[in-house]
Amino acid sequence: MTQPIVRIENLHKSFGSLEVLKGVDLEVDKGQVVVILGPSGSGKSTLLRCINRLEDPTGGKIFFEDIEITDPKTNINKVREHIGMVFQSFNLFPHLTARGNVMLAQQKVLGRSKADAARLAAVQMDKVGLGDKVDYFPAQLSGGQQQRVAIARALAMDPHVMLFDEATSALDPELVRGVLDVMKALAKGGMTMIVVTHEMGFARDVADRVVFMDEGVVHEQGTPEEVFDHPKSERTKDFLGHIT
Amino acid sequence: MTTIFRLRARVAAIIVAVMLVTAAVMPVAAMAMDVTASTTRPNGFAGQDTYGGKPTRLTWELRLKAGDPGVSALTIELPAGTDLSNSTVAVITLKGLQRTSVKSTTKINGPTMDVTFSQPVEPAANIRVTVERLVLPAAGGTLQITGTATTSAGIVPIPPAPTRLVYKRMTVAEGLIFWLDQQEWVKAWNSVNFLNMFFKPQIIVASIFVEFKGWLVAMALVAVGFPLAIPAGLLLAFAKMSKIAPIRWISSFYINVIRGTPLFLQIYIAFFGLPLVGIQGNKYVLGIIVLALNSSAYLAEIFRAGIQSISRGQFEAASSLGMTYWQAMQNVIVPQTVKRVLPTMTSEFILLYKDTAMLSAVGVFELMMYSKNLSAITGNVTPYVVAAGFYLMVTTPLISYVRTLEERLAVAEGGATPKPKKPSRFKWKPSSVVPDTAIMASSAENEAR
Repeated sequence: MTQPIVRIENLHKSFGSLEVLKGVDLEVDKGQVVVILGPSGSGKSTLLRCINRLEDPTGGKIFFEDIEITDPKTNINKVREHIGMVFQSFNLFPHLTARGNVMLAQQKVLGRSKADAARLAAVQMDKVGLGDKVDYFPAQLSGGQQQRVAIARALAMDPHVMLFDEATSALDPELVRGVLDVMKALAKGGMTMIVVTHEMGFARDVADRVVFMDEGVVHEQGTPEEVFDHPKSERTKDFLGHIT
Repeated sequence: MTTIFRLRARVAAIIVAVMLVTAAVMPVAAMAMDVTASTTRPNGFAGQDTYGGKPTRLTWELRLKAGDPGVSALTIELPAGTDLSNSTVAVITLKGLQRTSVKSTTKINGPTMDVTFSQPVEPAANIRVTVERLVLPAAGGTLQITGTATTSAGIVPIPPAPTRLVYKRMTVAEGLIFWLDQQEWVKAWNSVNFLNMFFKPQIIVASIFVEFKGWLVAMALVAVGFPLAIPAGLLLAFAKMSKIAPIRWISSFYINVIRGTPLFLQIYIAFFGLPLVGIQGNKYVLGIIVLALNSSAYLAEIFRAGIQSISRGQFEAASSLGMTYWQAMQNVIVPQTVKRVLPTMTSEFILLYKDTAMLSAVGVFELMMYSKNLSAITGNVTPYVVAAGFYLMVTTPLISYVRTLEERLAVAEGGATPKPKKPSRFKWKPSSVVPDTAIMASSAENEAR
């Protein structure tokens, strides 16, 4: 049994009086692709954002490679270097070119030289199929292309795990495919991934494990076959019934 | 022995020579008459200078003391090149407070006047000669009045004036104004009271030359003050967003006090209050400091609004890549903010530039001060109108620059389409009229002030 790369224990998160996470336990092993499903407002995104502490949990513990992220003494910036994140709204830096976006943190955070950062930026941009768009500004790219640049930007940091927060939800349907292809390739390459998505096809094809969440708790988890074809929980059945 | 004798002989010779010279000069030296005044009326547009090449008035006064002989005529010689052809000469005598006009005839011969009195003026009295409309040589120089006085004891040279009188060559401005003075259209223009009071050509020229210095000072005040206000404003903005409450309070307090009180009041407190507690400083330096402190509060709000207008996602993206707060600020947030706040910042610059005028109230010689003085001297509004021109000369291009920036920003942020080219005056099409979208943030900021 390998050591889990991410371990979440009894995680709680409240926004004021609204309790969004009500005790979530989750383990993700190295190289695993975990897809988190659930209706909107079920706390999927919040769970993901707690993992790199964009949200501060109100209770429970999160470990990343034996570092307790939830410990206030942890230098969270150091941990974040190793956790890549892709946002629903891309969040590319609009004042920088695609290359600039991919280079910035490499130089500022990892201290890579400009030449190294540029070379690695080119490699990652090739990987996401945008080798010819390095000099474009975000505004000149389609949503799908922007999201692929965002993936390249995260990958350039050599992350140990990648978090995808509804990475295709803001995209026009015809642009979703390109992004999903990149994610699939990444999964095949052995990247550890935690993916919040509504793309059932992706979950079925790529996920090692599917986690179904609703109302702040994990209701069911297992292989795609187990969850999609033989759901045990009524909630899961209900949810899958609604969307398929 | 011989040397001593020779020395004595030499001394004796010198004494004799001195006595002879003294005897020759005796008639003058014996008379106590002197010149008590020799002045010209300043004929420039401002100040105390007399210029050659344009009419002025000479006042010259000879004092006859008791025991002096009476004077029956004067020959007054002015510098070569002096034009007396249009001059009139008036003579009066002053005895104590009593003025009496003296009948006289004047013969003008080039720069020389022969003034003959109908009857001699007896001492003790002052003879005042007033020469109107004399034109001194254009090249400028020192006015030395020489000549003779015909007295009952003979003709004697007139004594020199107590002060040196200097007249100058006309400057470009003086020349231009003098030229304007003589133009018929200028006279016609100035005959309309409104035009004469607000747009008098001569005063326009004078104002441009005089107020230029004030304009430079105003520019210098804002050119130094504004760059100082920028880092101060940034500091205040970050302090106001600080996680540490007392820092936030201090910053908010400062910003509220500065924005909540008139700049005029702040200037008074600084200029009249600081000397009372023993802090003396150069008023220009103090002026710059007050302007910078004032502007920093406004800039702080501009920066804070700009930083907070950047979507949260930008900060999250930077954080998720491992950047610290300051790395994210420096590399992601601030560069985007700069573009967004540039129009409002420029508007703030315009406001500050105009606000330099208030420093005139505490004796800083800037544009407003110069125009105020010139207006007081001329009794005319034109200097203020010209000052308005000086202010507009800077603000007008900046205002259109702000508009361009705002339009560019609107396009960059995907808000509006680029404004179509201005329709030609001759091919005006109603369809190409575009609503003016350039008011936006800057006007909101202006209203806040």
